[in-house]
Amino acid sequence: MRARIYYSKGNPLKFTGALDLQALWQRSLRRADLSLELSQGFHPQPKIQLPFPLPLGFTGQNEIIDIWFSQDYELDEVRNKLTASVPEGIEIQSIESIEGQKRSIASSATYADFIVSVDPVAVKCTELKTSLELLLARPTIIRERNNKQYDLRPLILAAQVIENVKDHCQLELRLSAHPSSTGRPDEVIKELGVELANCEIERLGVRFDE
Amino acid sequence: MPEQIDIDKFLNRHLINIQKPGRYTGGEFNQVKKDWTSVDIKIALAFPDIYDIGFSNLGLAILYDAINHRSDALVERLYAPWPDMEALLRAHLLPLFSLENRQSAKAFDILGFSIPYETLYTNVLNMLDLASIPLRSIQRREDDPIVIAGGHACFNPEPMSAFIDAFVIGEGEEIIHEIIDLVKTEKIKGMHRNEIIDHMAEIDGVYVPKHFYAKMNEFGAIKEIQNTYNPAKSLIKKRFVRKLPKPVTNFIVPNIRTVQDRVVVEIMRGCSRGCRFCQAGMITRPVRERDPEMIIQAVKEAVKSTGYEEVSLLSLSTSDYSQIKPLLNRVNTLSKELAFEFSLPSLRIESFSGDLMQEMGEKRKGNFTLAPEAATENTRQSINKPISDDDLFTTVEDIFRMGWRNLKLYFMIGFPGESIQDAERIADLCLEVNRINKRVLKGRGKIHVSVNTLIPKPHTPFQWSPFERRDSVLEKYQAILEKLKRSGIKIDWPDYDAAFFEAVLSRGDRRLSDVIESAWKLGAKFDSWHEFFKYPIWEEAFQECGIDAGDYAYRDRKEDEILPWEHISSGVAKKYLYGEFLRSEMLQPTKDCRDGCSNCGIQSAFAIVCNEVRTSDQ
Repeated sequence: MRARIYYSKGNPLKFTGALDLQALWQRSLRRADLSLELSQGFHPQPKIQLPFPLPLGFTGQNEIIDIWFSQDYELDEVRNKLTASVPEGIEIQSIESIEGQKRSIASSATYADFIVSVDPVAVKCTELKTSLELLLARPTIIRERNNKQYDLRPLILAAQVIENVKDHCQLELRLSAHPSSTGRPDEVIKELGVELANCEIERLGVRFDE
Repeated sequence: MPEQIDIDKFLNRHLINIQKPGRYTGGEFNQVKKDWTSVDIKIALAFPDIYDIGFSNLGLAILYDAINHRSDALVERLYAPWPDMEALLRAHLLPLFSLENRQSAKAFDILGFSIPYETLYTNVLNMLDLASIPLRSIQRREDDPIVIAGGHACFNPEPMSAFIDAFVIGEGEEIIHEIIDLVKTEKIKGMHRNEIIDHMAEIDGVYVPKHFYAKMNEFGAIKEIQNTYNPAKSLIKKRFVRKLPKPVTNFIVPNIRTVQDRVVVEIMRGCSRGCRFCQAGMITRPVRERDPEMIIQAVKEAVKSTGYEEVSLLSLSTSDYSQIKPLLNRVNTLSKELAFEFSLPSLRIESFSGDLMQEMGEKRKGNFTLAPEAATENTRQSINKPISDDDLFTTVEDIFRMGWRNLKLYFMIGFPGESIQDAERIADLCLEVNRINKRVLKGRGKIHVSVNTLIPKPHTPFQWSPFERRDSVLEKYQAILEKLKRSGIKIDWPDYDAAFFEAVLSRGDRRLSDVIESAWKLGAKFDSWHEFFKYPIWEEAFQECGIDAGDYAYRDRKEDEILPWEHISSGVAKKYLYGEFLRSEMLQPTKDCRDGCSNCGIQSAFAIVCNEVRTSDQ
């Protein structure tokens, strides 16, 4: 039985990276006493997949983990057991079973939505609006990441600044999430001349084709 | 003092620029976070190294669990921040804070440091400073926590005596409650901090250094150590628990990778062998075994409550546990049922038989570690680890035949009276092991040799011996290296300066407090980290204080000399230790306690019978 769990990842886990998160889920599943399918090979590992790694420092809604169970469970039972066994920072949002032998969704992401809360003391919302307009008006935004040049502009599918939400200025972003062309919100923020320390970034969800 | 909310906000904003930010967030599974205002007394437990290292400290896990069981107390964790985090805290004038409620270290009633080894000393100072707590005990005020320390290094508390208000000598399980009860009652009564510390000295096993005065003669040797507060109590005897309590099972599970994240169940405390170089073996007497049933239950509970995939059965000499075979048999079965791996550190060559290896089942792929310590039967007699060459080679052959491929061998050089030829024999022994490898495994086995320099530690028979000088250590290493050239055997050894430094700190007296403070001011910290340890800083600090480091390391101590730790008793008599020192010179081994008592003094010191304490609950 394969199940897809949607969960949120908040504090303090936003500072736990993708590799450590894998171990954290494995241990949560062991504590939940749910029996999992094992991978083939010399070092059989429980079969779980976190298809869309969330960068360190971001919080996330509707994060996905796919789990292959070695027996059938009621979804409610899985939900209840996991709710008790995950650490602070993870909340189970919903759970569904995946029928049939569908392939992994790791390479089928299309775009992701982000919301960036900007510290209103450090950044004026009107200024941010102006910078964003100027940014979006540029035909190309050449940046360098991991010693490689790339154009950020086509990766920004949509962007807008929203004022006065909970005393914050919020930047909404829809960025490409294709495996070969992934846009990072922190790159947009840096290009806008805003310091990362003044922002909280949340990924609202990843869209994928199945 | 910043409010907690500021610390939360600060972390949220700034941790992203810090390496491994998960070290500073807390909130792990099994963490206990009590309401800050709900208890009478608040204790911070600190480990003077980073989270990744301190996390697995079993002593702190035991105390964390014990204190959390009390409804009148809370306990929170503190670790040393990595330099990037330290810089950030200092730049923003934020204090060192606890992981649970994110409170400043200064806000607790008691701040307890675990100090298992000496190279952590400067980190203790750095953490006090980050908490805005005056470094020196005498400078502290009413609003400072009572700073206590425990752990093996505290069996010579003198080098840190200026900075610690009260040391706990020995095991903490019982004494922690006595300390908390006393501090709580006296705080409620409105007693002053200094009075409370004075009264703490009435608890057996608590050492309050300000009560003691060490008179020196004109040559810098100690003339007399007096308790000026209570002259009748001139000796501080360690504490130990007669019966090991139920082991901790609800270990905190980290959100990031740490050095040893696994379940640890201590199956036995103490060691009956009496190796003469081994401080742990001397200071943790008497031997106490846990009942196998209790161990199995604990393993089961711990694996379920943590989700850990690995279990380590801990003791100083695992294969000496009296019921090791049935225990391993059951752990083996359980490991299949609950799907975990298990490891057995500290296996002894003499007691580790082929059928015990069979019990280890499929665990034969990993590393196997043997510690012959010395290369010749004579030297092994002199250090009281009398293993015969035949036994050693038979065990090696068994290990290879059973399927292990990676063999690690531990040796030491610098034993009293050791010649360069003796040291060279380490290489000969390794070459012989390699011949077995070629014969049994057609050379597919990998041999890794680690050679350390003996640090003659306090409370051991070698406490009177000097630490070996640089030239002769290097000469021995060169000779070993030369012989192992092109053998395919991997060999490593520690930096001489680092070992010398550890020898000085562990054998030092009160005057070292000044040196430690100077070194810290000059920038020393993380001295146990190869990449941070800077010996020139320490040389400068010694010079500044006008103290000769070499005197602590190299001087032969006389039988009648008053040692800096003379007033601290492990229960093992000085007379016995000196006798062992003499027997070592005569290459005479001393029998294992199980084969008859050699009168080390522990029985009379505590009015116990070792054989009764060993397995009292069975």
